[in-house]
Amino acid sequence: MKAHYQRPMGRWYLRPFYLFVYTLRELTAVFVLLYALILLSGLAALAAGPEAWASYRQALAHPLSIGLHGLILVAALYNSITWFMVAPKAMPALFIGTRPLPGLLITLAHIVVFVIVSVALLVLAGAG
Amino acid sequence: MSDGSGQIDILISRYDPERDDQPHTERFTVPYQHDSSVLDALLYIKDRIDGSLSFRWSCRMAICGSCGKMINGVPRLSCKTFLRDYAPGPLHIEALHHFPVIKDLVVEQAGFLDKLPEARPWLIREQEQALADGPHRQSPRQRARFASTSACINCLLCYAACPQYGMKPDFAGPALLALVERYNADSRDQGRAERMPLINAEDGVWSCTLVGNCSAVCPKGVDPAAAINRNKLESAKDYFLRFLKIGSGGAE
Repeated sequence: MKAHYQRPMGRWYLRPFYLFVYTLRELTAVFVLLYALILLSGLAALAAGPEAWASYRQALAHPLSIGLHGLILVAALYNSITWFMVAPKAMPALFIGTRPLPGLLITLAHIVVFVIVSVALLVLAGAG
Repeated sequence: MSDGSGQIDILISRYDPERDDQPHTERFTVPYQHDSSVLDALLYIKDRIDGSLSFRWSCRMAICGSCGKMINGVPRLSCKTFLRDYAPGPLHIEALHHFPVIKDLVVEQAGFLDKLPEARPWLIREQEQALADGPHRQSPRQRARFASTSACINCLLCYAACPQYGMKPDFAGPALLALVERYNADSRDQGRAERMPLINAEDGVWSCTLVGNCSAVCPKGVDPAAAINRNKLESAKDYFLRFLKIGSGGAE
């Protein structure tokens, strides 16, 4: 008798659709890293002196940089929201009496806090 | 979706280890009624069309966990999946993904069963309580902590849904790690330290990347993804506590 048949994995990361959603969640983390590096290089430029800081700001204003930031924003939003969706699974179990707290409530709480903090930061940046 | 009765086309992945190198698909047409399940269709085919069709089943009521199949690419219990929802078809039935196929729709379950004892799925006490002392009392709140994980029927749908298990067959996997959490969360149990090596291992919780599909396909409402990822926190805590030499568990 022949050995059992082991089905190959194939391109599991593309299909079905929910696995593609997961793959994108993981891939968009690269953009979050990229943004962290951009911020870090800004900090380094600030430490290096006014000239370095001015050229850093000039580089940021370049259309390519603005396009890249737009892409990063979309990727970071996708990354954050998809992580908020799985957040109820990654935190200690919460109960109200004998009933588990609905996951949807935890996801919504994350999104509400995210919106409040984002708006507050934008207002602060505008005021600055 | 159709409410009435009729005929439905079913494509079944067939594999005979003595003849085939890989599975092929065969088409069957079966009658169905409003309450006909996919399992009913498989039994109809075996009884009336082709007696050589092989598949596992037992209780017909989503309790035994035997009849899991891939139904249109999604792992489901065939007794709990109704033909009316797929009429007029075709409906594609395959063996559960990620497990070696023995014949037709029957998979080798050793990848799960051999690991089962590692979860130590029983109540562990530091000191056994004498029978004369009566039962271990538990409040409804304490019971609620493991109510959902105790619903697991070992049907292995979560393993068929998990791409990490597909790529790493040594991964303990969703049901096993949910079982660990079921006992760790039980107020009567004192065996957490004995289960930590399995949780901490490379093939324990850290092989999970939170795809979350295991929880989505569970027919009993268990949330293995949550059980696993909550234990990442426990594992990290255990690591640092052991680092400070005040921990309990261990991973040799």
